[in-house]
Amino acid sequence: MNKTTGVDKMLETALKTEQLTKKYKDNTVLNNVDMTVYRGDIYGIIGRNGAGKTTMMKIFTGLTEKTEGDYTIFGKNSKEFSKVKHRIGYLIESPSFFSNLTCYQNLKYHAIQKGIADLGHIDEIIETVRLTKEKDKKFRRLSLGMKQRLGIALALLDDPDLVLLDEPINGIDPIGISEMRETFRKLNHERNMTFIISSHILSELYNTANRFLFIDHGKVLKEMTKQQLDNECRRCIVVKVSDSKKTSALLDNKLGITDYKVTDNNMIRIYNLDEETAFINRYLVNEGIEVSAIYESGVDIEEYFKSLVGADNK
Amino acid sequence: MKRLIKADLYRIIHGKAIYVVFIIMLFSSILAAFGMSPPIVFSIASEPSSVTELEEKKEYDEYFKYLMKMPDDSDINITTIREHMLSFKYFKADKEILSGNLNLYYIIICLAVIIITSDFTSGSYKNAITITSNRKKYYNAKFITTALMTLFIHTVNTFIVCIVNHFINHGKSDSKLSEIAIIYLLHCFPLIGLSSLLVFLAFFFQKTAVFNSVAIPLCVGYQLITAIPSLLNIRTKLLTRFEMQSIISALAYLRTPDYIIPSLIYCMCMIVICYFAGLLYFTRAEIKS
Repeated sequence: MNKTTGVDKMLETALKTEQLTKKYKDNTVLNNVDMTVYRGDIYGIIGRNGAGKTTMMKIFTGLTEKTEGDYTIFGKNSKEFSKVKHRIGYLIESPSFFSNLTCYQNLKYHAIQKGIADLGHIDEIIETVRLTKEKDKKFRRLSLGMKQRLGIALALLDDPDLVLLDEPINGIDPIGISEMRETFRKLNHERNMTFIISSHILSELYNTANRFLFIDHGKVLKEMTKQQLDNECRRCIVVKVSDSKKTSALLDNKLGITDYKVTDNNMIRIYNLDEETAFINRYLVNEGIEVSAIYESGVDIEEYFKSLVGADNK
Repeated sequence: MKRLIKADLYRIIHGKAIYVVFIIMLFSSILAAFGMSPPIVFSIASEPSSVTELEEKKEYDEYFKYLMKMPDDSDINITTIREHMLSFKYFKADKEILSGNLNLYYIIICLAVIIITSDFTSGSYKNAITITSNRKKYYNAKFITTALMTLFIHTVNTFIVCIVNHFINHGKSDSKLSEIAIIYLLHCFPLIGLSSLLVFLAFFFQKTAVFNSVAIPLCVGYQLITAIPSLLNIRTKLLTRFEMQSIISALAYLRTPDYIIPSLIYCMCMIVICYFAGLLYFTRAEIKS
């Protein structure tokens, strides 16, 4: 039987929210959000437009205030936020720079603000995001993808421990997306940088992140690891039965099926597809178990997200 | 906060706008020095308080008589007026040009755009607030940078006026250095007052276009408002007394304590009120996307 993969509780928590809520007058944009990001995670936030992703990131960066609840970043709560601010890099919404300055000058401007003494580091970052050729181009002359890369460069400028990226691959071409993915992975692997990335391009986020948060209308739908998501999306036979305990015993002992998972409401997901659906159905009925539904399932991440959102809307 | 100021200075130096401002200042000083900047101060100021000022007033009266005596068909232009005015003993063109320092208001608008509203228009203020500082520090840095740049522009303008006047008028219309120094120091107060007002407006309106549409006509608008009571035959001494053009002009000429002290107190109040109004608004307002 598949066991739910618990995250190692000994891992350092990079960011944690407890009942985080944000209201604009009567409009609740975030509603009691609980999430935990561990150091070294690449944490993907998935949600539709207006789900609350950007608002959440704005709260973590101090651009807006929470209404209720709290969050901690590297052990410091919102009141002590200024102590850890320097450990965060971010790109929220579209990248914002001075159009009359070059890429290098824009980064140098922010490097001075951040007190970065080693200005040679700017060249390294420009190379990391592959903007070396455009280094002396004015910001207004850059393409959308290049602007986005410069925004990522700013987020990475002083080797932060936590990087918040809101839609970071908007406007970047497919090869660029692949390069950015590799860059994030490399920085995550080599420097143990923690990333929180929100994106509409779910397949890309799936390829990059190791943990996921599904959010809609300001509410958390699910928080899961990649392994858990794979299990949810994996092809399987879903059986709805009257007695899940007895069914589990029959699957284990009589049919020799061990790769399955009992979910809510007496639902069992059988991942061993060697047995035919009709055979399992017949066997369980013969053993006196009431089978109210049995069907094959298996979805990609987009389908899974749609089903989550759909279920929530109902 | 020092870093924010340093970064802003880096950005200003690497932009073109500040150099355009210097060129405009130089060009207007050359024009004003050559044209001997027609006297306007006595039309709004009170009676002269010293022998020198009395002599100056006589010269102005003579100047007006000269203009009145000119035949209707005579060709009056800057060159002919200038030749006449160069013969004045007490008229000092540099002091006259500096008394019109309200023109710097429009230069300070440019500074507020370069330093503050361009940040809001490009959205890069979010970078600064998020990573390097809180909103109060950001506001203070912008307030100080604008004030410092105003003083810098004021200093450069004073130098340009003195040097240009010295060379164009061959030293015939130079004031004493001590007099220029006093005018320079006294003018710091109204100019910082104006910069504070513009910082407040910049943080309030945030976007460059809106800010410009309010800030540019504001000065003229206030002068027009002060003119309305006089149209209705109402005494407007107090209203015009604390109009910035009056303060700047009079501080260049009427340096008696009973005028200087209330003017400086007025300017200080303006600085304090504008500072806190801008700070309160910016620290409490929701950040716009």
